[in-house]
Amino acid sequence: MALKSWFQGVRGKTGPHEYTIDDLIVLERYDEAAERLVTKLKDNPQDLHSHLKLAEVYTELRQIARAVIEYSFVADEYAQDGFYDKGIALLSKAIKLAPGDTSLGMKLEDLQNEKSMEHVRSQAIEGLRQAGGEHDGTSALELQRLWHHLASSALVRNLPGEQLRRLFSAMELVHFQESAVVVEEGSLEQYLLLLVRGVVDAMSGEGRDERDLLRSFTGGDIIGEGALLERTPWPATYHVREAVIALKLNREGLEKCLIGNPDPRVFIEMLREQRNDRAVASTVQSLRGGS
Amino acid sequence: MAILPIRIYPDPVLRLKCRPVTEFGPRLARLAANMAETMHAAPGIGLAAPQVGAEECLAVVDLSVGEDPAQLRVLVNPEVVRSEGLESDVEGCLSLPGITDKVDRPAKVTVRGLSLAGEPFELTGDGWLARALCHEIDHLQGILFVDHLRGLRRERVRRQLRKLAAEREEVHA
Repeated sequence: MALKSWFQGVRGKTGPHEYTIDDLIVLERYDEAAERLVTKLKDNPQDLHSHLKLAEVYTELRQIARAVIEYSFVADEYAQDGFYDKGIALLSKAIKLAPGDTSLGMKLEDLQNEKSMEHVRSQAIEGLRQAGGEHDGTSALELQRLWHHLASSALVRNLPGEQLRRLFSAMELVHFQESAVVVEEGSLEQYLLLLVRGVVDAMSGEGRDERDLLRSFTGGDIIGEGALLERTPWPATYHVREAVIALKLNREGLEKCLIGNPDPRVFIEMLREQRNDRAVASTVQSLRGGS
Repeated sequence: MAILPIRIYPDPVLRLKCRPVTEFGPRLARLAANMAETMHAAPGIGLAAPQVGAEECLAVVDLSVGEDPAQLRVLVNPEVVRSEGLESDVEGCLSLPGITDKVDRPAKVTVRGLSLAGEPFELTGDGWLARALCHEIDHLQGILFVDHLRGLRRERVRRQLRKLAAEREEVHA
């Protein structure tokens, strides 16, 4: 009896005990589990384990659309970190839940393509690591993310892995803040930029307010290939609209790429394939010719 | 001394974070003695206060299960201060009857704690002692060994826990 009252006394002081989220799932109290997981994710939105648990809980609650969103989110995160198999497995789960959602099928195909480029990826990441990532303290995970942004670009799809490694290792990882000017029209600086992430606007005209937007460039686009390969002046002024991460190739880097290159012609052709400088120059010319 | 009822999953007392012991005296000594007797009777090699419904940072460990009184360790406010290596072995828990699984634990740990008289001590153990110490210290933080499982093991144990919870519900109905 004394023992009983002692326990009751202690419990009264500390208030009610709480089940963990896992316990709530075990006890099939899914509504409460979902509520707790949503709260937890507000504090830590990148907690992938909680996202996965939430997907499971939503599945149990038959809230399929929400479950699919959670699975897709985690699949994307896994893929960005190079865990393609995990991403594919999660997307497959999502497809089983929502077989009519065609966007999931497309996403799955993209992931499968990325996975099939595994050899290219490892070569490219080695190149990215040498591109100054090491000096900047860029982690392996961040390098994976850089790769993920570049993986679907034409350059990466068309250049063999060894050439990509050669190219990336001769480049320098650069960052531009929002509103920064990358380069002014007419500049003779000889380099090109392969945009990894962010948005750059090519503008023409004097004075910032009167300038015309010619074209916007984003991840995977190359700008400055004319300046580097043909030594032509930059055709426009390039402004950063959304903070940019890019890989910069200057003349010295280009020479490094070409020395001992088994196929320099294809290499250069790939760099200039997008012909963005030429397209911008021609737009500027037509704008000025027309005014 | 008395054998105390052992709290079984999903009793929420198993999930509380215990508060540090600040009062050392006969009440604490009695609780520790009762816990030791409960552990030996179960039989088990470790028992933490929440497993008998108490909310204080107190655990007992005895690898000899009562065969050798010298092996009984009473840990007040214990914490792991050093750990080395990793070992995987099968674990069970008196609060999770019938559930066992492989858990990774440090191969060797040093634990700092207080005696029943409030005197500080350090205890270094490896193998099963290290495992039992970690297991009991986890209990004091509301962590069960099943919380360390991932993937398919976790799925399997979730089913077992569900069954255990249903059985408990039937018992209490």
